[in-house]
Amino acid sequence: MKRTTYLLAGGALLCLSAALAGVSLVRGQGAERRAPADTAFSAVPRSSGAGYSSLDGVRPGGDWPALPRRLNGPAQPIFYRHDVHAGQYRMPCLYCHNNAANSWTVNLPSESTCMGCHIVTSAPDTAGNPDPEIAKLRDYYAKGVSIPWVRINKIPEYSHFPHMRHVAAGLACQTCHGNIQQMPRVFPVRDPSNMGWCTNCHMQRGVTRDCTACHF
Amino acid sequence: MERRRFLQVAGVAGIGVAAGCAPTSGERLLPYVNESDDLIPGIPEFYASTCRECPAGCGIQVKTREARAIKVEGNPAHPVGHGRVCARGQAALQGLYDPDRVKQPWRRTARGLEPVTWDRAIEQIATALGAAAASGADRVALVTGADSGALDAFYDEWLAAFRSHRRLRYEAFAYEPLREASRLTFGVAAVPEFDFASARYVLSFGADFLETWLSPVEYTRQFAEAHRYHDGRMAKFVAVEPRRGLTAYSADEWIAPKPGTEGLLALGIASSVVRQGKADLTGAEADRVRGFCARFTARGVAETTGVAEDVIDRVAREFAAARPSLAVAGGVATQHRAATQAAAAVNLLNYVVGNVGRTVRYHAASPWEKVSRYRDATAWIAAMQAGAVDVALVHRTNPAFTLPKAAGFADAFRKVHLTVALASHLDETAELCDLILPDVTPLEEWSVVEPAAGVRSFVQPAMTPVFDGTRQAADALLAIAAKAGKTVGRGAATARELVAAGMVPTALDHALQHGGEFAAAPVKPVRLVPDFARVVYRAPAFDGDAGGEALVLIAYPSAALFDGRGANKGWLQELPDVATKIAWQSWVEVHPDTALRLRVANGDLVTVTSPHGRVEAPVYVYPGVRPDVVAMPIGQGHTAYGRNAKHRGVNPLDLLGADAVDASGALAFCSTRVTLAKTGRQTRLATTEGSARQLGRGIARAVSLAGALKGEVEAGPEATLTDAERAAVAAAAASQRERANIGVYAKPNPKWELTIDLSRCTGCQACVTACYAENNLPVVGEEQTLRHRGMAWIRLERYYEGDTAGTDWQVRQIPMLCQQCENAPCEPVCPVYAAYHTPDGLNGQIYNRCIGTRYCAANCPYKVRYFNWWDYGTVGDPYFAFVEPLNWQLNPDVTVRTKGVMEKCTFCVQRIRFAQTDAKVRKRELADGDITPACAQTCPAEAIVFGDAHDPSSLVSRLKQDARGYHALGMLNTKPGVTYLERVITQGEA
Repeated sequence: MKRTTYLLAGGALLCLSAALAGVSLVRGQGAERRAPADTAFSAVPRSSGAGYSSLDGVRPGGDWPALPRRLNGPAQPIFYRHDVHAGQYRMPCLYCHNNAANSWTVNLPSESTCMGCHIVTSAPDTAGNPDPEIAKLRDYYAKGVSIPWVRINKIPEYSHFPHMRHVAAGLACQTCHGNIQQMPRVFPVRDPSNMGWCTNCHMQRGVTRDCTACHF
Repeated sequence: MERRRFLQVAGVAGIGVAAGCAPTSGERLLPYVNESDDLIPGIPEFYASTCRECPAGCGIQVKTREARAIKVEGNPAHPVGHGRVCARGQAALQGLYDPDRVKQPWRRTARGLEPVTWDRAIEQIATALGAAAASGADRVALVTGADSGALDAFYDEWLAAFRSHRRLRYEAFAYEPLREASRLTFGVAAVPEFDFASARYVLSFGADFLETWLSPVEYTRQFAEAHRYHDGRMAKFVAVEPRRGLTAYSADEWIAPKPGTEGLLALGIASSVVRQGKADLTGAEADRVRGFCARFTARGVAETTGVAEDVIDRVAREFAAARPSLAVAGGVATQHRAATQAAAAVNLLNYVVGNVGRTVRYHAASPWEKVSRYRDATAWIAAMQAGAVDVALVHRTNPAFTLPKAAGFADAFRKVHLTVALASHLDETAELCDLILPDVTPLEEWSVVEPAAGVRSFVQPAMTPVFDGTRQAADALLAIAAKAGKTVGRGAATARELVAAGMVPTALDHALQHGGEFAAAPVKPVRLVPDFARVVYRAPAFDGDAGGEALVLIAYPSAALFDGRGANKGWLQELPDVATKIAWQSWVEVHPDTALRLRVANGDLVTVTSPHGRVEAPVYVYPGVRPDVVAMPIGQGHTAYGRNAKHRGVNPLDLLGADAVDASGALAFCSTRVTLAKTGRQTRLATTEGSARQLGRGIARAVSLAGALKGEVEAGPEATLTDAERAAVAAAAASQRERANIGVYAKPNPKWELTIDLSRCTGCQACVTACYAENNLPVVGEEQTLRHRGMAWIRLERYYEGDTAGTDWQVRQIPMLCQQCENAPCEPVCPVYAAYHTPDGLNGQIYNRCIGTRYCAANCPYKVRYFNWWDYGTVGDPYFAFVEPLNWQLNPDVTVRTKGVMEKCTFCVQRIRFAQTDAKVRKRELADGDITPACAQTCPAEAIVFGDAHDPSSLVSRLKQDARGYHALGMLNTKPGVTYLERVITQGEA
């Protein structure tokens, strides 16, 4: 009886630690516990001080940031790097995700938006061959096929989140989406079904706490 | 180890595993390849178009989200409808997304339907057409519904290219008696335009102008304008018909003459007007009319019609005194063998008091002139039977269903060498055809129609066709003509080019953005023709035995199903008939005395037999028919046409004889008597009716005009409270409000409220269907309706008032929806706070919190909370309500509810939040009228008003103060956010 108990307890402990490790794997090491102070959209990335980001010393131009040993987030059909586009080149979030400012839902950029630059820029190697990821993009566009991106951020279907209202209030995207500009691969930073995160901010700022503001 | 310890350990381990799951497992996001310049995902786009669910042609705006049409709304700039849409128009979306649509071309063989390619089909048709044209003239028939405008002209031109003029515009309801009567009395074979808004007295002889007659949305709007109580007056409405239908529910008085004698009554009234010296005639004309009217004495008319002499004289007096007045006729239900004469009599009645040119206006052209008559349809059948037609093409009309079986349509149609259906739905006529070409629905096509004089109304696609294989009929005809080597269309290669022909691009753009080109049409003055007296007035004949047992059959058009075309749409099948409150079924209405005599009760199955056919239907005992009359709704009894329509109910048109025509060549729908025989079997009626009586609860209130003028109102039970009780209730409410007035509730918030003016509401149920469309309501079907599990968030309740023996009783109708009570009984009893009160005055219902105890619904005194007994939104559920592509219609702004969740009207909170967010982002204030719930937006009578009751300048604040305002079940102190305005009924002399 006692031996069984110890065995079970030990097994449970193992399961628990494995689970927690799994949690951190998905969410990314050192997941944010506090929202950073509001910054303008993708200003020069401020050092998080956590010491894990390879962007901490990068200035725009020059080589792309080196990839960390282990990438967070799910693999996408094209290895699109936010740390290059939004981080190093300081492209504003709203350049691609333009509907965040004028709609309830946010869009992924259409392929024509990507091709706006990449019809020209191809990050070629010394032989002149385009970067394989950009080649993939051009191939999708030429064939008129949508890129099947893996979805990262989704709030439950029984809630409706007005992005434009929050953008108009001056909220930085990083507040909820984390430091995307430092992510080679995007991973979820917040649990979207954790309504407490939303209501905390609403209470701090004294805005509506009415359920039907989002649930209808 | 102990079980409890094991569960504790397993639970902890389980939580650890569960926390590691990704929030969105496997879902993909697909971006646009090329984004549209105009389309913002998440923001709707609107396309102005024209509704084609009936020939009225109301202007609509189709709301699309991400290039999918999700809602039909009215076009406020359009002269037909002025921004309002009826239930049929709202349900057009279900025709668009019908899973049983024709998706590809089919060929009929001995083995059934086989797929065929467009090219093969076009080739076969072109060859047959060439052969037919070579054989002679008029060997090709092209049959459509009522049509006008550029495409209609193109169809004629196309037909002429094959040496044929055999063109029919076949409608079951073609108003031939009105046209012929106008020719006989005024020399103009046209249907006039009526002005209900200016009328101060409306006298209807069987015209269901609030349901299906001519242009019901526009006429409902106008009628409500005149009939509502305002500034101490209202127009009186007297309805003369043997069966009291929805239109007559709004009547202040119902007169039921013997069936077939309405025209005679009209003449009796006209004679009485002349006799009383109130006629608006001079000179020779006055003499002619006086001489003609002399034979229609009050006594003689009273004897023949069964209407008392003093009533005839009184109505005549009122009709002549309240000028301008308006008399209308020509409803399908009362279209008997003497319908033309009845309409002519009504023309004369209008003329005698000077209404012609004022509330009855003729224009140079009317859209009904070109519509074929029943006589033309039977001539076509005879031609087919004789082998004179080689090729027949049918588009958007269903003669196989709406013509009486005795007319022999199917038999003659089969004799045609090649029959082609250009159909979006496989109806009875398409089922007979050799080739079925998939057509688009009106929401996917280009067209221009002329529904009223001076109105050119454009139809444009609101989205690309749902099914790739479909082509617009005009495009198919262009391709066929090209294949046959004919040049048609004057250079146009597509339907769009046909529509745009002759227009400069800026003019076309403007027309498309506004819905059309609208101009005032000059009124054509008409005079009574000198030989009007040649029209012979006599009572019509009815087939069948005149002896005691036989009852006259009234087959009436259903406001939802129209002539049967609405039967494939779940929303329309789910709409309860306003009189009987039955959905999804057929029935035969029997007067209580007759039911007693025949010993039948509700639900008893009887065979209804006429000399021409027999059907079986359950009995519904209804005081609104004369004892010598039975009534059955038209629209059910399909043998094809999709899963909602097929093999459901019976078709009363099967009981009619094919030779029953009136002087205009119209089919006499009311032409036969029937006998009822008990079968001994019963069936359950899918009725949504609770109680037919208010039982003193003061739900739907009305006051007489005389009382309203004195400031009186009909009191409810709350009037019996003593002053002390009233003070105690008020004090309790005040203390509750004080205790609740904390935090965000104490801030300045809007308070959203509705007023519903019962003197405007006609009970048409457009609001019901609009709500279904806006809020993703599931259609539950017949079985669940039998279990009283309908999900309609707003419903029309119908109560009788007074003794229903005779014709002197009132009907009270009230739209009932969640009252958003300040003192809601449903809120305190929810164990999880899913039902709660929002700071802006709504009763919130949070679906993801609800655990389905149903205590809230039990506590709600209005019974306006609805439970999801099934997973209506989930594929695989036995009652899954959104079979692809019906799910394309779902509003993305509203949650689709799952099983176990309670739902109810939210005052379209999604529209409120949308407007508030929009205003916030654009940094502007919301104005009164910026937010309109779906029901208020569509109501043709403009009965529902929404707004902020905390804004003293809003319309709803003003209307709330009206003396007629009351709260339903007000004695329960629920403090509703819905204020009803009592109906006002003109009782006695106007």
